[in-house]
Amino acid sequence: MVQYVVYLVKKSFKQEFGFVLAMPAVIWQICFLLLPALVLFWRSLFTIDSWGVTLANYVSCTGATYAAAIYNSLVLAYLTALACLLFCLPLALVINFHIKRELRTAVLLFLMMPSWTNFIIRIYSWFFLLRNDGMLFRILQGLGLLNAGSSLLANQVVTIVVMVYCYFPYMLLPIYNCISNINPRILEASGDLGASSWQTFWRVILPLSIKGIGSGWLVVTLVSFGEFAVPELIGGGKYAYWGNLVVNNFLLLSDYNAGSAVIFFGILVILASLLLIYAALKLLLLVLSHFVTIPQKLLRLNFAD
Amino acid sequence: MIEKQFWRWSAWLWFAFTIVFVYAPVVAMVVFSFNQGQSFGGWEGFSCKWYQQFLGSEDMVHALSGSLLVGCLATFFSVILSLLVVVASKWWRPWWLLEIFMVNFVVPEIFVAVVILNIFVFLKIQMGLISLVVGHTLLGFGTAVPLFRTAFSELQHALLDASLDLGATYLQTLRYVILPILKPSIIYVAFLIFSLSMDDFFINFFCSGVGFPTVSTYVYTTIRAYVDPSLNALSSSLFFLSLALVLLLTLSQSIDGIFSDD
Repeated sequence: MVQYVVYLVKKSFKQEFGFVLAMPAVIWQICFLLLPALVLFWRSLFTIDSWGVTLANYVSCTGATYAAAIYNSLVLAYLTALACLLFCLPLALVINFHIKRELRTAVLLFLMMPSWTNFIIRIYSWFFLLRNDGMLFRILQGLGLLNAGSSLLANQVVTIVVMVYCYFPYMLLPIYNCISNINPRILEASGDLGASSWQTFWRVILPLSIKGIGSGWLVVTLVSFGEFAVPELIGGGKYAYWGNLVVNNFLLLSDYNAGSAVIFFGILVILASLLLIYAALKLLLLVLSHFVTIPQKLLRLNFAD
Repeated sequence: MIEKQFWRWSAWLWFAFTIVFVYAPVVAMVVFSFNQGQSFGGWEGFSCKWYQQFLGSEDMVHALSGSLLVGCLATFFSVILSLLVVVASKWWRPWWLLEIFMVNFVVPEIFVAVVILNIFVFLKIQMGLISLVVGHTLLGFGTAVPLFRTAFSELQHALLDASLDLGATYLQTLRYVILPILKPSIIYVAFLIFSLSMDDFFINFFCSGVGFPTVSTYVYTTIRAYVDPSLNALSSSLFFLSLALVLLLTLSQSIDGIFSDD
């Protein structure tokens, strides 16, 4: 009995100790992010000139200019994610299979170091290649690929390239993490059993790295959806993006109610589109599986586990 | 055999392309920060005058020291607080305790920035150092909590129980058992959060208020207005800073296996 009481006291003291340790971070998180997010959502239900709860702010998000901006952001986000995937998947394979084990971490650090300098400075450094007196421009001009009047800035392709430059670590790390955990013996087995390199990739490596691809894809689309600095500085600011709408509403017009509706509407759109693409991909694989063999793990398309 | 050769060559080609892609802009920037003239691509002789101008410019030094201050404070708060919350989860763990920090990583950064902007304006608190540290610490939670969580779950929990059973207090266990074991990941996480804070644009853009310039906001407003070669000196200095940090991290031997789970 006494022992049981001592046990209970000790246990509850443990819990209290844990409670005290956890509180600062929890309070910080709740007071500065979670509650204010609720406040922001609450504000989005009102307009400046009326006192009733209304969806007017959300309705105005579907107007032509707003819809166009959100569409631009969606296109930008998915093109960036696709380009990042096409760039990072081979890169992760190269790092894992062609570089000595001891050097891999150093190589990754070396590749990601520029991305730890400063976001705006990374964009700025591209000016040294892209401006009309920059290196890349001169080289392309020397090769006769560009004529005198043209410019590399204010160009959609270049915008995507710089977006990839800014965001590829978010794709590279999760994919590399998955690939580095593949047991090399499985690949040996696959080769010994007569699979070609392509078959090994399609049937072994890709199914085993699907989780990393999924989380990389999720993070890259989410972060690049909010982007407005790259299109403005590199793309010449020709088109408006979702980020521009947010900036305009919050910083220029100081209309926090409309701005918060824009924020929540945009996040809703990107999340819904991610779900939609997931469903479409799953359906496509299902249909394809009637014509070609698709590995079970790919067919299930389970990113979570 | 030929196929193997082909894959090997294309692998090295891709790797070389990557190195050029990642380093060409940065190297060009560093090289031309020593340029005599104002050109972004025409070499006019070596000179350090832009560095002198950068160090002589009060605005730039202000912006740089502001960024460094915010980075240090945010690193301090987010490392300590997330370490505490992860350790606490051993003894007190409602289901939501660690999950609420996943939000910070998953929502677009612009959302976090706007939420903080809104609450500071709503409560009529002057924005500046405080709002920036608050925001960067929140960003830090998103990185630090998952990383510490992995590191802490790999730690042998029998050691903690043994330490407590042998009469150490909780604080002694924290100080003499947990901290030494987690030291490599603490160093790595601190480095990562400091870099994230120096790297950040959105929170700086929305939450720095009027009186507290940082590197991001300063460079952003300047390059949209005019060409100022002393910016190249500022940018290159920041690059050297992160180079130095990466070298320190490599030397501190805490990097083994940080990018893979095994």
